[in-house]
Amino acid sequence: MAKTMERRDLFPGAMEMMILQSLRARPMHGYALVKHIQQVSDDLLQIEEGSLYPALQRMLREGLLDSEAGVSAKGRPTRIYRVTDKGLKHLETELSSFERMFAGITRVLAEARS
Amino acid sequence: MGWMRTWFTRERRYEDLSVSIGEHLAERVDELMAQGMPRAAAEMTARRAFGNVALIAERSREAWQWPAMESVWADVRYALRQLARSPGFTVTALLTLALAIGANTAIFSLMNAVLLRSLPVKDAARLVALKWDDQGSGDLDIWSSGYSDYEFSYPGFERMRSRTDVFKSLFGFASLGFKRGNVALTANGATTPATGTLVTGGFFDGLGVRAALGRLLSQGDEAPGAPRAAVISYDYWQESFGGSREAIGQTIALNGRPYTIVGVAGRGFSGMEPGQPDDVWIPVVDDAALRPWTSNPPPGKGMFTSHAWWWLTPMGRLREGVTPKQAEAALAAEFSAEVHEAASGKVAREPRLEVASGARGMAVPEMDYEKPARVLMGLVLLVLLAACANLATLLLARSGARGREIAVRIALGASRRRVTRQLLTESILLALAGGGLGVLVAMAGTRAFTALIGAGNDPLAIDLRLDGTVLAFTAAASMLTGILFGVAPAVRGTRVDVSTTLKDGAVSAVRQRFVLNKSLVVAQAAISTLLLVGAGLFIHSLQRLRTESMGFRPDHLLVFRLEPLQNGYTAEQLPALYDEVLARVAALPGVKSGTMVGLRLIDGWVNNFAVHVEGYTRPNGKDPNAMENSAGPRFLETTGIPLLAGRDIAGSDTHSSPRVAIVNQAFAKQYFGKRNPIGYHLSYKSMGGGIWYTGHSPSPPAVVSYTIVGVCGDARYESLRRAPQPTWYAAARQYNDLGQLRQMNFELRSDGNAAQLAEEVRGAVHDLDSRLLIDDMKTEEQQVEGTIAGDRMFAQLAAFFGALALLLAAVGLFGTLSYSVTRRTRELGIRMALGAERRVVLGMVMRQGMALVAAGIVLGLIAAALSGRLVASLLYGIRPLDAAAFVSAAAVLGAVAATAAWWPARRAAGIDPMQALRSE
Repeated sequence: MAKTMERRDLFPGAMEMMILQSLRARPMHGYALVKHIQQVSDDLLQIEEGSLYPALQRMLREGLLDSEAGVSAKGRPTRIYRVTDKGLKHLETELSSFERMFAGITRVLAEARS
Repeated sequence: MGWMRTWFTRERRYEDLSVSIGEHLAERVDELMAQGMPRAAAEMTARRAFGNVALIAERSREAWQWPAMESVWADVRYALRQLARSPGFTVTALLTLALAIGANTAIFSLMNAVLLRSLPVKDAARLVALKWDDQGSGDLDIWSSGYSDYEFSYPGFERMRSRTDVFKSLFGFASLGFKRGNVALTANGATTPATGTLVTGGFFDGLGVRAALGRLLSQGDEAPGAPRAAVISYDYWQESFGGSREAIGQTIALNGRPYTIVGVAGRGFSGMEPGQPDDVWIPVVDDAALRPWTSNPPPGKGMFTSHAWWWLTPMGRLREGVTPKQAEAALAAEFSAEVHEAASGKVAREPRLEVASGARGMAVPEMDYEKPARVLMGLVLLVLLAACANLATLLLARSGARGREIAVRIALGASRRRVTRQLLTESILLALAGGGLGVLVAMAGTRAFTALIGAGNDPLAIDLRLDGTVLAFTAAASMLTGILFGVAPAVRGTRVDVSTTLKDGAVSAVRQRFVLNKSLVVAQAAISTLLLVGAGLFIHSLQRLRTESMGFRPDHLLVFRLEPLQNGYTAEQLPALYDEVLARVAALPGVKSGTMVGLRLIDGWVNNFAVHVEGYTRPNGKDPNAMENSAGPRFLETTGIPLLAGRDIAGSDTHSSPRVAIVNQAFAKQYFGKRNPIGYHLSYKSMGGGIWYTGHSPSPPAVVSYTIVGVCGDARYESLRRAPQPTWYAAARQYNDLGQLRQMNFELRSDGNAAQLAEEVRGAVHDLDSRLLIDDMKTEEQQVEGTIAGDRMFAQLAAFFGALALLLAAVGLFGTLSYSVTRRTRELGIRMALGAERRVVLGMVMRQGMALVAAGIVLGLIAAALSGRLVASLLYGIRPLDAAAFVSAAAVLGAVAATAAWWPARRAAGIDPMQALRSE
């Protein structure tokens, strides 16, 4: 019944980027974050709940996120996560490097196809 | 200060996290229920989707932690709680560990002191000693004593010292005598035995020893005509001068020669021989009262000029970049030249020079103590091993009882590795705490050791301080112990089948092979058998020594020694002085008879030299070697050696009458066969050395001849261990060589308690001359007992360790059988319900236990038989395959094990079948 908890990311930093991007739109609590990513990606991406919380804690620790007490849609007490300035800056660098990498991959794939 | 903020805000972070996760799950449940799922199923599904909550929470928390440290700390706290919850187990384990680790620490400190510790000087590892080996040729016609192979003549030393291309520094030293208290030191008006060493000017500088006060000796002090300067040790300074600065400049006397104290050596430095700490150092000097090793020089040879008198031990440091091998090569020619000057004839085989390590100084005790120390270390390591096996069985039984707890933890999501680590943390924690207590045990133990070691006749001052090396050993031993006894139970403990355990309850949980427990019991039995055999061997050996007939009667005998040259007497005064002392002490009330003897009986020293026996020739024409001692009037009567024929040495045998001697039975038998030796002559060539007593004859005769006047029984002479050899006793007052009269022992037979004579003897000698120092006064029984102090210590320690291992084995067997009975309650209940008698059940459990013990005994006996030769040299009068030791070890272990097995067996027999069957 034991499960392997560590499932590989798409690539290192992908989940982190998606969390930051989602929270940039608006601060959310954990469950909402999972739902948000699922919906925006048209169910293509599903965040493994098991890896969400360790990731959130890491990002809090690094100062990319901040959390505050709040209530969920159902009125239960929870914690709302928001992006800090440092988190925004981090997201920008990550995005630009991701875009460059993506462009590179696309070119290679296009050449291979032609 | 980021980490501090982190530390303080962490509790809040953890709280946030659990709120977040809780809400997350609740929201998911709501959603699923909204889709029409019943609550129970929704909760299940939500959890399943989320994963292992506890594990995820732990992983999340790790973001805030120093990963390793934190979880270790958590483990430690958990372990402490667990240990506190079962105080019985914890206390037992701690006691076991404290005793086992303490014993190891104490014995290791002994090893450290006699085998490992370097001299407390600067950069001791770089000290080198010069050593030579004549490869058994015997070509070297030299005089040497003391450290012999490490000694050189003074010119030879200077030759080496001049090679400044090899040595950065080279200095030399020579002790004033073999034993502690080799010099009479007068300070503050009192004369006491002290230990002194002659040193060359470069001694302190070369060693890098600093002065605690004043100055140390230098090259200038060695120069002829320099004022006589002495340096005292820090300890002596504290003892005799109370650490006063006034000590500097005070005049002391060494064997009556005045010296001025110029300085105190730094604290901790006590000379070159561990075990024989120096009190005082003086520059090398050619003085008849202060000879190296109290040995007399070859006739007509100067101490600083003779190539034939090798008395100085060089030591030093090599120049930077010079290896010992290079140094040996560079010095070979120098040494060869020296050898050729020393050798009177041709040198058939060139002696070899060796550059050896001097890091440990002249660690002579190594020779006597290396073997015993190693054997003791082996014994205590076995005890530690037995303790490990014992604790492992306890832990196994406990992990059986903890099966449920462990199963719950695993079910809640703890990984097996995590639980294993947790269990290991417990055992290591136990071991470290046990090690800490062990240090306390060791502190008490080393005190006991020091007392045991000090009980001998020639006690070594061994410094059993628990230094860094010892504590590091203890820490490492504790850690290893913890892992050793913890790892198997931990791995086994986590191999539980979660669902069965949770369903069935604790008892039937660990349905695993019982093999590990069994083999641990066998191992413990084997180790205790081995240790018990060892104890039996040493005890039996001691008994043999004690009951050995000595050939004389040591009861009611008091013995003391005088060494008047140290108290201002000249050699010529000695014979008259000895006569006077004997007359006075023999006249004391309570003294039946008194005599003098050159070497006291059973003191480890003998004279042994070639003697010509009239009417006896060996096939090779050479004179045979025989033991010799000098004996005063009424020697046989006083010592109780039986007179078999002829007469005892008498008061009328003086320097003006013909020389007489007594031979023992072994001597008579060996050299005279069936003939009566009385009237025959013994003679030896005079060595011509020493001081000639002109009262006897004006010039040294070439041959000294004695007439045999009596035959006596065989008596032990050197030691209890050595059977009587052919021995002859020369009349003490007829010695020609006064060098041999340097020391004299007096033996007094009392008609009451010999020890009570001591004060009166002191008084009588003091009345004669208050300067005379009485040395080493004790009863002959104490003297004999002192020579077997080592054997006694061994027997006591081995018995103690054997008993410890026996106790551990008994506890281990008891625990294992009890656990097994608990496990088998149901099975035993069924057997009894089906008609098995209580007697049968009892026998069954007993058999189960005793089979393990029997296997252990057999293994232990085999191990003992195989390792016997390791201790053979420490035994007396018995072989390592001593039947008594083997049989008694097996019997003792068998009996104790049967007692230990009896309780669980009786409990098994007392099981009520109905209750046993209902209990599950």
